Amino acid sequence: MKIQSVYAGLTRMSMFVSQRILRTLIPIILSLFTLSSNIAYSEEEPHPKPIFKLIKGQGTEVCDAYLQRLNATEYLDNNPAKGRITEPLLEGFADLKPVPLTAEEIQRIYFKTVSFTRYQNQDLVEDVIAYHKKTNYKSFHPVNRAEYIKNPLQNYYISSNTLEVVNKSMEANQKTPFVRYQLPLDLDNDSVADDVVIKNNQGVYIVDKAIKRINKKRMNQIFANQEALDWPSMIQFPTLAFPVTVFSYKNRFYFDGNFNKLSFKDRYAPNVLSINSSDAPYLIGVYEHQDKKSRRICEYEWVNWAWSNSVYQEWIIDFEASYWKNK
Amino acid sequence: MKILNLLPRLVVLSCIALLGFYCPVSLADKRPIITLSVGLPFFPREQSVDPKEPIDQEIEGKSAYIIKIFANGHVEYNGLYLMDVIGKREYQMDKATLKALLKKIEKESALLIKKEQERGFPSLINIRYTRTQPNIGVRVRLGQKEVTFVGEDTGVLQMDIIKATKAEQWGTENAAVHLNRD
Repeated sequence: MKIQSVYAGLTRMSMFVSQRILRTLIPIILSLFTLSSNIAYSEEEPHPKPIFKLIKGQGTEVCDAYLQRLNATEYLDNNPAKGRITEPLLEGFADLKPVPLTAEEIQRIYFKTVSFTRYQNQDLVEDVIAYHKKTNYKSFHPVNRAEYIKNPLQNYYISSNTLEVVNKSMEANQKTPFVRYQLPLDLDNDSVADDVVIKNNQGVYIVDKAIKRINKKRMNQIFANQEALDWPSMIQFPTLAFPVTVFSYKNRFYFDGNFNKLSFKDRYAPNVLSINSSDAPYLIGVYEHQDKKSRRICEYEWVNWAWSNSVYQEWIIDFEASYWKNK
Repeated sequence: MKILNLLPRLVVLSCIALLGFYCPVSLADKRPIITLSVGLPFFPREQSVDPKEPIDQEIEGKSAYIIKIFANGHVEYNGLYLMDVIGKREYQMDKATLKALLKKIEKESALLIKKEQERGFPSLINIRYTRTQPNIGVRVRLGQKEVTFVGEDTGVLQMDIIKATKAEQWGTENAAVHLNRD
């Protein structure tokens, strides 16, 4: 099936490329394809359960303990980039008491999270919606204006946030619900637990107590690359890892996420934080925040990870889009 | 005792007289008052280019450097990728040049803000386009406010900053046209 589609692609290509070049390219492309299909999982096959090995931080207690936890965790579609279904509370790990957000809470914060993740400006999406409302949706063609009144952002794969849509999404995402931690967290380890944290498949957000706004300043302090923040040509939330998960081990707080496949300025989707498609190994780092600095103290390699088209598609496409649209 | 109490005010007032409204903010913390950056501080896109080929626009933005200007005229440059000068360098601007630059930037920033407002609603597409091209960003601290400009429109500000800080000495003029040297 795949070979056929490669041939079809090459045939289409021949319309644009000279025969001489094509004669040289075909064997190379086919041999590369054959090689890659040996190591990639087909779309039909499920990914095997991820296995991690510790590559940096051996001997550090939290690194060794977290290795056990990473290997015992159940991931959505066996893909750590897509979310975690269960995270076993092994010895030393604290129960942060996650509880699902209510539909109303999701409705309130949804646009903020999408806007922040995509554009690093949590108000932008709502500003656009407000603009269209104020101008009576005049910028849309009368023929399909009614559709855009329902959702002015449909061209950007952003769902509306009506309770109906939110409820449907909650039902579809039962395995990895949008949650808040009941306990405030002490993410900077200063002995004051004052961070209200919510979490979905795209990571965690530090928010205000009412879960109405993302605390951008705090997000930058804890999760962002401080050097990159100085660069105005860089996006405003250069996260150290993605998607971020937080945990507490022996009364200290840590966060983790992939750190070697972040694409901050993808050519086609420049503001979308995405995981790039390179075939470099998938690495997860554990970070500890102390004295105003987040340091990566452990590194893990997902040893049975393999690049495949399906995984690439799942990752490279905007996370919220696939999160809401495909479910 | 009274003189001691008045001292901070005197410092601020004389600073304002010299440099304008940036002083109260600048004395309070050590952040730069103007920052220009080109490219990204990490993850440069790998690209191999035949020197005989015409310069591809995609190469633009591959260079990466940052220039920070502080309230006392101190300039810090750091060239990361594809620059004539890689690493940190320093320069001291004279007060008159700094004052002139601040005035210019204040004026041009106001024009940029006005232009942005005239563009109307914050189009998501516009945001994407301005972010992609061509990887230039300027951050200016206007009084208590911090404003960041990105994209093509910042070209004027970039030129002013390069000229005032004599950044040509570090190869900023060639930054956008360098070929991959690896």
